[in-house]
Amino acid sequence: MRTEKEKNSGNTGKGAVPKQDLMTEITEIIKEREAPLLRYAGRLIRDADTARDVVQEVFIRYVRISQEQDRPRIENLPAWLYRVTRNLCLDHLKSKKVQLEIPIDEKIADFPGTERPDKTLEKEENMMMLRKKIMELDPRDREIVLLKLEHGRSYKEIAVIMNISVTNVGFILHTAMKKLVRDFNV
Amino acid sequence: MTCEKISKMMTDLLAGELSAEEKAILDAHLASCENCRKEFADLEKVWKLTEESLRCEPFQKQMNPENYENIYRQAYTRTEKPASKKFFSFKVDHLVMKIAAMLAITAVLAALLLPAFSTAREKARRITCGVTSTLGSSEEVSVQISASEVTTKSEDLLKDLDQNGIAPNGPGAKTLPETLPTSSTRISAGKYAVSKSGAAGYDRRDMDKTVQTAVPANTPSAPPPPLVQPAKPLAKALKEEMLEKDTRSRGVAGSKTVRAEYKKSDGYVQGKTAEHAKMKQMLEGVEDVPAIPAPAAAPAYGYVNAKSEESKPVTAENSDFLTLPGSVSIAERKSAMASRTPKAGESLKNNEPVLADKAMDVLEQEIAPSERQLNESVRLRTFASTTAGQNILEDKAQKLDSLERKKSLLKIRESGAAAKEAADEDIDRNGLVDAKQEAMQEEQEGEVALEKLEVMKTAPSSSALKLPMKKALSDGKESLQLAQQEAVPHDVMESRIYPINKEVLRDVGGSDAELVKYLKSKKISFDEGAKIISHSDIGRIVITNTPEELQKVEKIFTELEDAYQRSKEFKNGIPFSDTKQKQFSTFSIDVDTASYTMARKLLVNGIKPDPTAVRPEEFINYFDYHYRSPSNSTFAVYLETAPSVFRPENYTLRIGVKARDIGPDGSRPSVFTIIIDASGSMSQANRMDLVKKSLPQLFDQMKPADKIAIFLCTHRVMNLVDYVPASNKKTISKLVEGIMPAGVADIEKGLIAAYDSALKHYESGAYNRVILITDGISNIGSKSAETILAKVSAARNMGVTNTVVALGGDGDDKFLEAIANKGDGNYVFIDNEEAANEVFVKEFEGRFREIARDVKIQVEFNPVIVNQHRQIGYQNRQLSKADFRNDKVDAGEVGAGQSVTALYELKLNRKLPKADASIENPMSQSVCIVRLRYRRADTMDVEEKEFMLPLYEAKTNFANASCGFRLASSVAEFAEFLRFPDVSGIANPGNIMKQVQGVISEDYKNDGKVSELNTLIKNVK
Repeated sequence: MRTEKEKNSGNTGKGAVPKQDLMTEITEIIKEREAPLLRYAGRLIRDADTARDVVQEVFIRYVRISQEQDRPRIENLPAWLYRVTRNLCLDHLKSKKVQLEIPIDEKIADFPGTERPDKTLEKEENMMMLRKKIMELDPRDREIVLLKLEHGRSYKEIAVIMNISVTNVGFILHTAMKKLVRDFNV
Repeated sequence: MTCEKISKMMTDLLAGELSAEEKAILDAHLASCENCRKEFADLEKVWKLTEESLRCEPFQKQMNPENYENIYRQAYTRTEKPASKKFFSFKVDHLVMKIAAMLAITAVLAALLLPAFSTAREKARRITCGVTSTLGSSEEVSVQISASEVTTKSEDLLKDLDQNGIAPNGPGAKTLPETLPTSSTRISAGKYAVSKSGAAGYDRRDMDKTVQTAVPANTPSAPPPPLVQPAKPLAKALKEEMLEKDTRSRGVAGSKTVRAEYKKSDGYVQGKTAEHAKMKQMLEGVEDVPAIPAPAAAPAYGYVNAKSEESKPVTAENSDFLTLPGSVSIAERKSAMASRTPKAGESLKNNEPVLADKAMDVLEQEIAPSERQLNESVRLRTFASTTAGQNILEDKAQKLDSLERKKSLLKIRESGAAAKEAADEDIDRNGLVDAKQEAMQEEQEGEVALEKLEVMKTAPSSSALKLPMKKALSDGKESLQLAQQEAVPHDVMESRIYPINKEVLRDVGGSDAELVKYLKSKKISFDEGAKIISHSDIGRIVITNTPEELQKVEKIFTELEDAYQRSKEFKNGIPFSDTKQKQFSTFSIDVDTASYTMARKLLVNGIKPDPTAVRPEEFINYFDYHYRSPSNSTFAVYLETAPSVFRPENYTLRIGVKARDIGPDGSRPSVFTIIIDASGSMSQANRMDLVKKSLPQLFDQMKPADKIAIFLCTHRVMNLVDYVPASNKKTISKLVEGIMPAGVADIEKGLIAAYDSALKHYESGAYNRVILITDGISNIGSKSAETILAKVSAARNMGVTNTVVALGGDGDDKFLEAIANKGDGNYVFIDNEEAANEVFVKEFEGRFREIARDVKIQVEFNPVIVNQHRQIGYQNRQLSKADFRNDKVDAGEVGAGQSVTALYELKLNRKLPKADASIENPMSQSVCIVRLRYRRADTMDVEEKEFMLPLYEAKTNFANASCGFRLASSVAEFAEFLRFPDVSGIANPGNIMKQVQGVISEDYKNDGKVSELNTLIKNVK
């Protein structure tokens, strides 16, 4: 602890947040945001371990940004977190020379402790089919569907996360959903 | 509020993005619209289900809360910005990096300080010498340097460099010279000394090695290794260098200036078909690749070495540059040719192989230098200097060179001819694509080889001929010996061998005098020293003339050959394909009309268009056949067949495809990137003025939210309008009004800039389009063409289409068409206000609102009923059978409301089954099955539809066919009349006109296009 305090005193400048407050803030944020980010990262990159590392890195960066002298205000925290996660995942994929695919498995492995809504056979089949059809979308479209339907992010947030325009988000989502509806009805 | 917009609002509602008012609008609409209610119910169901199915996946294991502390700590220990990715992957120790950096700086400084040790005079001279090669001075300079001083310094330097692992690569560099040459060591920034990319270092260094006294062409590297080494190891070293270089990056520092200076832009050649164009390119001449400085004061140098190498034949293994001795390459080619199964009826082929063997032997004897001479010439060329050295060796070198060149050129022509034959066969058998690929591969290899060769280039005037390296050969492909003609001064005569079938010369005459007369009549000048030696009986002609004239001769001979081949093929009329051998006909559709409008312009002025520029499909597609629009589906297909009126023993088959009208897609926004050619030629009538008048019409068609960007193309690219909403059309039009065309336009740069910009501003869900407005791109280099087309193609994959608007009519038609094709766009030619109005107003929906992309058609003919068939037009758009289902293959684009018509001529079986409508298996009685495959522009889904034409629907009489059918037949006939002059079987204009007039009187009384056609045909009579 002592060394940390020393380091801390070396780092704190004018605008830095005092340690204790930051610690509580971070804890809160992590508790709240880690899980969805893990899911998101896990979708972007297959490797579970790397996904965990990435999400940790995201929080580390958040801490660091909060430390900066002229602390830049992050307007939309969740969007920022997702965006950084995405960028780190893309970097990782690039370094492994893998394309962004966002694979979604047809079958969902059963995992103890997760929500198990009542699933009739038909419903399960439907869901499997939907997941398959989602895989037929472009990765970009698929990501938007994910961010909206799984993570419930707003158009604006999605636009920030993926670095596209807000109107685009709407269009793409609409087209993708239309396709899914069509596939479903066939 | 349209249902389409409501539909989007539904998504927005479920996404939680609707405002209260919008929600109210939606509710109101839903209350009254049954369809939308149902749609909403579906959407909601799927939405919820998707949510569920995505969310029910198990969680990842979360962090242990204890780890939160770690995160905090990590953030603090990183006092500096996180290192770049590179650091992580390299895991380099900082300290080592620092040391390396310091040493590098020391080395650089040392190199820079080197001149300080020489005399002041030397310094001054060096400074005045400059960087580019001016060789005379270096001789004087060379004397100044004190050898010993420089030795020490350079030794130390090299040692340093070696230690630090920054030594330039190359085997030669390792062995330090005993004494230095008195050659100049012009140091240019010393960077060559430490450059890691041995590329720069390699050139200069090795050039120095070969120099005994002075005259390195370009700036050598800082430590000047002299040369006392024999040629042989040098050759090996060079070869190694060359091969090594293969793996390094291609960029050669410094040679860029060389390249720019000496590279001649090769014209983008117009060929009959795309791959012919490529072939022609290959054959289009030879480029000098003068290589390496030679010893100026030692004319004996080359001979000395030759003596030591006397008895060694130059084989592929030990020649430094791959001057393939005749026997090797011919054997290869013989075997290659033998392996090709000749197709029955192919004319030239029967003569070629035999002649080749015999001729080659004869010719070899006649002109082949002895092996030793060959060696000599190789050596000489290897060390052939730039201007300074040349004086001494020129004569001898030239003499040998010309012999060499003849041989090499012969090989080139052979390989080109062989490849051309192969390509021809491939077309016939497998469609254009295979041949194209092959040709492209070869060309690519040639390009690669050429790139490597360019490294060697130093001076412009050496007339050496280089051939590509072993590597290309060892790849097993038929090696493409590609080289291009240097800009050689006018008075240098050159000899070339042209293989030509004596049949082709039948009308011209085979003797020397006759040939001269013929060529003179084709405006080839025969100045002093120019002559012809004809061996037409064995099919070879040797012509000595200036390179420019030789190029022209090349073209003339090719034309002669084409004409001859055509006359053979077309002896009995336009050739058909046998259904049993080729049952499927696959092609990409085309809605371009430029060929017709251009031809029209010429015909109106009494000029017959160039047959190769006549594309019958574009003629046919220019007219309106009154197809009915489909109501629900994307396309409606109409099939009709009737006996041909022009050749009654045959049938004509018409396939009509009509796209639906704009419909709900109208709400999609547009992003148009317009690039306008502002060169001086555009100031002529009906060019820029037409643009200024008609662009506002285009803007009027756009929606206020559509975005417009305009780039002006002069010698640089200017951004006139930067993605401004079309609501500002008045301002935009004013800006367009103010364009003053002048000077040169770099269209290549402009296109690339426009495409980059379009991609940057790409909006998904919108119509993204690049519109090129130009009066022609002259003299585009093949590499630039490749670059542009690659960019266009990549953009198309991203969803950016294009429209090419040609003005004036004297531009490079083929290349403009290629741009439109590659970009899934369309190519139109505008020569007056009416035409502009057609394109920008009347056809706006069709041309600028694409409905479907990559539209392909495959026709499967029933061999029982159809004996032979041939397609009219679409020569440039053939696809292989497999390509039909390959969704990556690029095909044409169709806009809203557009229609496409394709015609075939059929020879039916004599014994036709009785056309019975009630038969159980209609397939057996079908004439053909037509499949249409396309990608919908709105959903990007691929769809395929199949249609059958039963025999009983065939008309018994031409007169019974629909009016549109008859019009299409007539237009096709007219087009083929222009395309195949002097071929038997094609109707004469009088007959065609009769049909057209009949059509006019029936359904086309008020169709201006058709009456205009009538006039055109009349003019031609």
